[in-house]
Amino acid sequence: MMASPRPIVAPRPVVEIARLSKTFGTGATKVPALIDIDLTIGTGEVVGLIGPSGSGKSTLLNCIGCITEPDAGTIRLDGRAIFDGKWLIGDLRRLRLETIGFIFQFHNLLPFLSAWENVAIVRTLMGESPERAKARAMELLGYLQVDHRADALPSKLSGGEAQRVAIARALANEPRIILADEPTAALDSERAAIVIDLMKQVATERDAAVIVVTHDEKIFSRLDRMVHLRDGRIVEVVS
Amino acid sequence: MNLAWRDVQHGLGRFILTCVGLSLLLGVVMGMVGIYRGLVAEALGLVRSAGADAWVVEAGKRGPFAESSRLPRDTRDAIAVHAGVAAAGAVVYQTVEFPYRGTNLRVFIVGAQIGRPGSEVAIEEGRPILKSRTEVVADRKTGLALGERIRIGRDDFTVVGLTANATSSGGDPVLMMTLRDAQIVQWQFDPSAVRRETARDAPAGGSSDLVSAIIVRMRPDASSDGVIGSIARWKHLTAMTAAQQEEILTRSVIERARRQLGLFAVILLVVSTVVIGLIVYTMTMDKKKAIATLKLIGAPDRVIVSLILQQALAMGLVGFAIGATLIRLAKDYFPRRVVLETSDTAILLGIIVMVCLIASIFGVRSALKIDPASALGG
Repeated sequence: MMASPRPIVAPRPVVEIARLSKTFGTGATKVPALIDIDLTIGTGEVVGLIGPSGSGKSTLLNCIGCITEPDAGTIRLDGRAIFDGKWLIGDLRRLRLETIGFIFQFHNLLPFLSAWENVAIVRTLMGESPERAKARAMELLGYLQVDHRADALPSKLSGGEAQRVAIARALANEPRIILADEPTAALDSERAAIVIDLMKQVATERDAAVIVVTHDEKIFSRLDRMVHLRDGRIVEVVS
Repeated sequence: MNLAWRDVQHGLGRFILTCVGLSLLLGVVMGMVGIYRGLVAEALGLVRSAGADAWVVEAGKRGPFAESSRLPRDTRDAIAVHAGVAAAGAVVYQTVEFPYRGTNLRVFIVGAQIGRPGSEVAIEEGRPILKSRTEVVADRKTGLALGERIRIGRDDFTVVGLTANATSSGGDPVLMMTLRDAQIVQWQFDPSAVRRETARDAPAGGSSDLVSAIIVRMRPDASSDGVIGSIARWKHLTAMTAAQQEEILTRSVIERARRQLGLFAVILLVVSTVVIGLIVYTMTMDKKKAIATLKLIGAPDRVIVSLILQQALAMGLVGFAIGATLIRLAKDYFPRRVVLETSDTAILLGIIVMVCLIASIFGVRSALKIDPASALGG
């Protein structure tokens, strides 16, 4: 399912972060994880969060994913401010369900569900009927060219197939933001390139922003922007 | 799509093995309750089968089951003509052991007067006792066969009829014979004992025309309390209604056993709760990553709680069903009677549902504490 040529438009901001700070621990064990982070990511962009361990990449991803509440600053997702004191945990979970798609390092497919069920569960959780959810799941698996493995359990899928199914699941809720945590760490160069290109295609075709936490240098060249973090601060942004 | 069911399907062998293990535990709980019911049924069976309106025993005694009671046999004649009494029959109860097929057979002898209260018995095979001597009706649990001859004391008896589920409160199968035969068995001394008693110039055994109790049936228009009060006042005997006799049995004879079994059943239910709790907790921890992923993709808590509760309930119900089937298949092989009542099964089912819900608390709590962020990273 390839998209037809689209008119060039300026990216609309999907993730807007301003003066974001987060500190873990108290007193002597106090560790600043994020310090005054400012970042805006628009539709169609694939942005990499890069940095050594402990630089704050995962904390930033967790804050954007409505998992970790920052101490200061603001986050706006698709125009909506989160962590402004008005959101309950259930509301944030609902926001994740409707707005964000997650892709994990080890695909994290539910081991007891088949490939299509792993995708359909997202639609089911959104309240869609099982029939429609299955139809949508099959459509996405077809889009990612893995529909022939729809009935297979994750344990029967190859690494590449499982990652495609995981991407299909991340797209199932038609997200505005896709957060990917080391999505290519377990893949070889060829498969890693395919996955990143796939995410780029998804971002372009579906007006989504993709944020990738990665150490994987072989995919750096395929990212639209690389945000380097060190000691909780953005030290460099490379386009 | 039902997540709980899909997860069970994914690990079906493990789930079934867990259920079978649990079913053995629950089967023992059901067995305990069944043994208790059997104990009551056995204890009350003999009292109820006598069809007495009142029991007359030795003055100041609570016999003939809770303690021994001895009355002259002719007391029956005096009771039979008492105002308000329709019929009366003397009975003798005693436990004996006699050699049988190379071992000792322990039975509860019921001696009753043919045609009088206490002699009626539900014959399953054969016929009732017709001759005044040396015929017996045996419960099937004795293992005796119809027509078989047995020797008790100095006499040979022929089994002419068989009954089912006729046992004493101690679980010994009933051997029914005529009152006279039972008295002989009770009072007939071994020849050496007779010689010894003669040598010490004492009559061997004293009077042997004694009975354990008189079973009374009243006229329909008679006042139960009136007749009982009158017998106690004028005959210097203890008289009690059938209900009072049953209460004595349940309160005195089987109360300790009831409490013992009840305590065991409660302990086993607590053990079951802990076992189910541990299994549910382990199953939850095994799914930690899946639960974190579900939370991360936005599944509400109710989906996760329902996943755990459904599995805990399924495990409890399947375990209960297997346990109930096993105990029903095995109940006839128990040495004591096991009575499985539908009401007890229903109550136990309700308790198991509660146990599953309580046991799930730790699993649910730990599931709700799982950080969705743990789904990210390795």
